Amino acid sequence: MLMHLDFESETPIYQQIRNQIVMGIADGRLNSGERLPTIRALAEETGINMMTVSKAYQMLKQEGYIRTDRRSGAVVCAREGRSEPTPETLEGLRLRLSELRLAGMSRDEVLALCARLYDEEGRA
Amino acid sequence: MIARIILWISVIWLVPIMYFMLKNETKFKKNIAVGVTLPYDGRIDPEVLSRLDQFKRELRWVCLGLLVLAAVNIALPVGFGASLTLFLIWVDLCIVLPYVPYIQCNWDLKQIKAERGWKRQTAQNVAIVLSVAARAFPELSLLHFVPPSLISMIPTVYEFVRGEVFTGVVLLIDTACIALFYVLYRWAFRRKAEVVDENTDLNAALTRLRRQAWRRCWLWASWLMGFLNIGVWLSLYRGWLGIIVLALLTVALVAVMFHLEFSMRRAQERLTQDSGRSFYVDEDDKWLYGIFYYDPNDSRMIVNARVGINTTVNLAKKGSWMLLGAVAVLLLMLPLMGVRLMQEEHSPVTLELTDTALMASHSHSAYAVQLDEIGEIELLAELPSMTRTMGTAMESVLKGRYRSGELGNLNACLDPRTGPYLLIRTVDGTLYLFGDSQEGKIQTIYQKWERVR
Repeated sequence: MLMHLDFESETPIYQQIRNQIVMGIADGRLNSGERLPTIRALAEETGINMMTVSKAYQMLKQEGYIRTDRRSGAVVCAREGRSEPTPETLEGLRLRLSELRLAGMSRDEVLALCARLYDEEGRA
Repeated sequence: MIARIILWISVIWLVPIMYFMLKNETKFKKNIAVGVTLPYDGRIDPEVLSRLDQFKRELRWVCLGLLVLAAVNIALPVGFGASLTLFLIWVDLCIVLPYVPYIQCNWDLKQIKAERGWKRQTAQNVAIVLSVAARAFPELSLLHFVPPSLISMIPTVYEFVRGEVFTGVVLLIDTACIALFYVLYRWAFRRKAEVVDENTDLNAALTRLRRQAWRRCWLWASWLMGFLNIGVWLSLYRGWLGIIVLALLTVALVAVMFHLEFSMRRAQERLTQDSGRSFYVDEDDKWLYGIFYYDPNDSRMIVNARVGINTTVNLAKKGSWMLLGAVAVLLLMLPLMGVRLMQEEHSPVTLELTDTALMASHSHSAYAVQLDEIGEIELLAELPSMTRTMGTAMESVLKGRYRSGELGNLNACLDPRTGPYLLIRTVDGTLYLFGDSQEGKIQTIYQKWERVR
């Protein structure tokens, strides 16, 4: 999986790492059991601070997307079964829906957009 | 004249190396030509191809000019010091001048790229392949560097056993270099993985190739360094044989490194011949003139060169400026070394007998032997056969530490053009061989010494 980091973006780097790994897992570019680079290796590859990578991995671990062990470093986790969205996800979703409504999109247009994006993620 | 020809032969190959290295930059490797990343369409764009051809022509003329300049310098009827000064200025020109058409071509290609709308990423972006970064590549262990170290230590141990501590310590530098190679290998091995496009297998193959080349580079260099010490050692006892071995090893080292660099470039060219058709990584904004890396978001000081196996520095780091500044100062100072040698060449060797000491001096060096330490003095009509261990050997002066087959180790300060010479043996067995550039001065001093004694 190719990861892009944008240093000009307002999204913090650790958040960009976290987001792209989550998206990679969701669209199948990262499979369950696949090894991720160690904190040190990813920091060296990207030229960013190890603390930044560590923060991203910590978030992913807390959210259950990865597990870490001493021998194999960070490994992608399959999230078995269905889980309810977290309060943070719902909050984010509400915010985006409000933005789309303010942009003048109707309910049907928003749902169609969501359906298209959902399908695209699944195909990738 | 022979010394001058040898001097020029030792560096004349700089021109073909610069020519072939820079000419090779016109071939697309990792979608890059002359330091500019272009899409697949760029490889068949007539304007791009025409500019690349123009660069090759300009480069050829610059390199031919440098060769002509070298021939003129060899033929100039000047002394060794002046010839060396010209030679060192020429070395600086060889490093700088071929980059002038390179930078012009890089600039023009960037203009074409902007006009065609081929620019992809900004300097604020970085792309990495997670699976390649996570992959473990085979590494060399310390044990691989032990055999060449042992070879390099053979002469060192021999000299220490014989009680020649100074020579042993000098020879130990070679073994220290091999240890340094191991450290550099370990450090270089962790360098960034290659990212050309979205093809993970391609990125992994390029990364594996680069790391394999690094392994070979440091291991082969270590073996050659091991044998280099044997060559240095031989040169102390069998002058010409040692020089031949050293010359052969130097040629082998250059050939091996050239082979590694060009086989790596060929592999990069072959593997990425179909890349750039859709997504491709474009980091041109981070490479000033296609040569200097500048990325303030990158915490690393040392980074991979874009093509081949080399490394370069990140100019956004203060340490890089210091390193680059030191190299620049060293290159600019090179011609001054020739001026210094000219001064050495034209300074006479003088020998003085004072009330307390016998003192030979040349330029800023002086060798004094206290009179009460002198055991005996012998007047030698002919210079004994001897080789330099450490010091200066020029047509007008021999000074420093020398080794003679018949006399053993000695400290010399003399003008080989004007004999006879004084061989001084101190009460503790140390030998000094002194002379004077002025005809007849040695005989006068010897007679004076005879009277004093």
